[in-house]
Amino acid sequence: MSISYRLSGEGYSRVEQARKKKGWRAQDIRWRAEANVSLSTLKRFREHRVGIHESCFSALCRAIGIDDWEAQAEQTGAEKIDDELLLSAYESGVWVGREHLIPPLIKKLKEGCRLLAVTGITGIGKTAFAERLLIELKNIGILKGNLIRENLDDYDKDIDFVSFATRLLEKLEDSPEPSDQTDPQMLLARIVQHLRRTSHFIVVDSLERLLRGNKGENHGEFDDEWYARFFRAILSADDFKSCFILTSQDLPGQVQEAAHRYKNFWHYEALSGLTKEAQLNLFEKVFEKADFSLEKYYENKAKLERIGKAYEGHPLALRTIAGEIVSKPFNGNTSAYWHKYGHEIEEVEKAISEAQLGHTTGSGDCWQLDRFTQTLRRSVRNRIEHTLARLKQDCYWSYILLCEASIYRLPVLESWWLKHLDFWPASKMDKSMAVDVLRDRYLLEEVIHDDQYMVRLHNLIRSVALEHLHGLGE
Amino acid sequence: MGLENNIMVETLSTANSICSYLNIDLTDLGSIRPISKRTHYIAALQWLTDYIPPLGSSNLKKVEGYLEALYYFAEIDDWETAGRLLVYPLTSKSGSELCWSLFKWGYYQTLLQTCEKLVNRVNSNINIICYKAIGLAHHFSSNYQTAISAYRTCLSLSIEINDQFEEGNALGNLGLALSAIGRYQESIQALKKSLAIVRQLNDKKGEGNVLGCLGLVYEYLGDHSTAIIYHKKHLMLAREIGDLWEEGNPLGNIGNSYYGLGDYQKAINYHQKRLAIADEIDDKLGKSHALINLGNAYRELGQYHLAIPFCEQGLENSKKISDLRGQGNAAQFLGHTYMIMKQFEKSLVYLEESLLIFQRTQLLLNQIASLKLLAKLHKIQNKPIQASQYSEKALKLSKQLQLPVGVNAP
Repeated sequence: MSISYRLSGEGYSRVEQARKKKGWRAQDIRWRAEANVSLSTLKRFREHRVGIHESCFSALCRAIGIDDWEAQAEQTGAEKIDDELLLSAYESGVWVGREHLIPPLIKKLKEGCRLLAVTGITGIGKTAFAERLLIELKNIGILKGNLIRENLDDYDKDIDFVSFATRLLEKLEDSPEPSDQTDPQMLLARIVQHLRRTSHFIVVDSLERLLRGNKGENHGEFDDEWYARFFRAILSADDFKSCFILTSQDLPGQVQEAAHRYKNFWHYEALSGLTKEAQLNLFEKVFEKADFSLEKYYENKAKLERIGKAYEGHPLALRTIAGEIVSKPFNGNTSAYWHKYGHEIEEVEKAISEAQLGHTTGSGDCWQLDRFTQTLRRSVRNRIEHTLARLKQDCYWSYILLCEASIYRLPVLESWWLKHLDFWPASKMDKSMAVDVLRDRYLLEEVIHDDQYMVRLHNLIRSVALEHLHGLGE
Repeated sequence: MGLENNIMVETLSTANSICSYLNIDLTDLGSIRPISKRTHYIAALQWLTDYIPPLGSSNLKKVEGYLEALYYFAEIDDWETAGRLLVYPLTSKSGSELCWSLFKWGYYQTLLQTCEKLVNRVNSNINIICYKAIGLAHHFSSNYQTAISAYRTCLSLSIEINDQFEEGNALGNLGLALSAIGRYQESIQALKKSLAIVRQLNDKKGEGNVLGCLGLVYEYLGDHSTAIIYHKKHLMLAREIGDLWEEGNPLGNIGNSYYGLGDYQKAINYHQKRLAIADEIDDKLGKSHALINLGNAYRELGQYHLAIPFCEQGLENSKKISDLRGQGNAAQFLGHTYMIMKQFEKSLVYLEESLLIFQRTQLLLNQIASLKLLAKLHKIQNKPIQASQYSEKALKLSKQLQLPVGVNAP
């Protein structure tokens, strides 16, 4: 593997100074042209999370008049935080508002919490939150090379307990091939045995995939009963050195029941929307990242506040709205955006407040609470629908690309997505713009998967886009 | 069939070669409608032609591209192409088809799910392959009843289309699965039918395999002399074919049968022959088995100074190639030897280890042997309660296997 470089902390400040001095925007086309790099490379360079190739790194520095590029750089090696933590959702640039939740959780983990569940509706930021927690754990030295991640959404095929446990064991025992074991009891015992002795952090994403749908009896319970036994075994073990961090839209009844008896070993953090302050902070960061002066942001702070409130601070919804506001044709003009689409926000305000009325006066009525979350969920989905409809109008090729890309269940290289546009009458320019637009509007996620920089869609966006793909017709 | 490790998947095919194999016309791709169908094809082709597994990835990861592509073909009901992909040869070696590679590597769940999706979708040939794979996957996961029913379907399908080769194969597999649950007479019947077919087809290798299976069934039944006859026939055929790889198994089996007869010196002779061949052709699995069996036989001759190092070396070797069965046997034999040498603590460690391994791999007959030894060990040490607990467990398993009275586990 070739050595790659990223900006050091000081290097970043130095580069930012030099850029501003030149009067260039953060992703200025002149910068890219001078250095002859793609937009995504420039973004990677500025985000200084992952390394880029030496030639690109030095060219980008020279383009803004920094000749001693090596002084700004650090080699990316074994200590690369992102690679090791396999971050997939966390973006340091726009993560806001939940910092205060982290220290109490760290305390709980230190005190022997074995099962930590992070719950909330889709797009609320569960995975990003868990990843932020991992970063903190790494920073304080509790997490060091003992992380195992399992995204149940990555495996459309094998989510039965035996397959899950086999994968987990392979990772625990560091063997790349499966054993012949198929007895769930034995697998369970071996894993628990392992985790009693060794300290591991195991992050399981999208636990809701294991639960029965909402039809029939026992909905919301584990479909495969062995999972319930597994988590019970973890909670009831005499000693246990490891910790499971679960993210899920719903919490299975079996776990809650078991957890009731082992309160010290168990905690669950229900993520709700961002606070008012954090909502504004998010908008501010998006404006800043898009390189708009904050004046534009402050001009219409009240409107942004209203948007934030309408969506109950739902980060995915707010990010896509913010992405639209800072993109063409609004270019950061919130008033113009409100003028055109304010009615949509008002509709959401109405629906949510009606549902909430029931929720607050309904004295803990479960049905009302459900109705409230359902309304919010529906509003967020509608929001994505609107976003796609507008994308279709404003940036047709980005829309087509999004629909085509929704076919992929796993993160893939950007070039794979673009391959699909070869079958459409899009020009080379159209193609290169198409990805950038999706990125600027926060519609795609960039992850490091299999040691490569890859792209993928958030589940919710993928599912809406998939419907559109099937509707593309002739 | 053991796990074959480190099989390299040859570099992924070029776009043209895989497309011509799958009968996909690349120039036609653009005109496929509806659009979502075209999207599926493009995605499938991306996975087939552009996917590069990360360095040092597992075998499953190496074939992820094929599996994803297969998923997309199935999604748009292009079963024909999905079926072709299922039997796509990963290397030029025979038996390296996608489905059989999954089997060899031990990904039974993935194999099952893939074949269950494709079964009754394409044609009789693919159906036979699917049922065979489903049978094998269940067989190796110790679900013998389900395996037997899949083999039976496979059998009737091959008779239907008059495919004698597959018929012989299905009967052979059926025979093995039946023997695993103690239905020895039915097992022998199926194997003999299979034998008649492979002989008619003049398939020497197949004939050797069936003879070997028959030998094993007689060995389970405690009829060592008949077992030896079959294994020797197997050996003769292997020599006729002139393939040293084929010779190893019958040699080892003959050694084990002589061990059963109590003729330990003869057993040692055969295991030594096997060891020599394994060294010559670098057959790691064969080598570790030969070493372990030699150790076992030397113990019976009272030559503990040889028994222990042979078993230890065998244990080391099987660990290197992740051969769990070998590890379990070596541990069990070491435990047995230390018990005789009255080193009870060491004996206990090894016997418990062997039991654990056999439980992991669901090798029931071997579990029974370990349990019996553990019972004996506790009895010698005057711990009747523990001893009877182990005996009971052994008895329960024997009943589960419907083992005939007087039959000893290997």
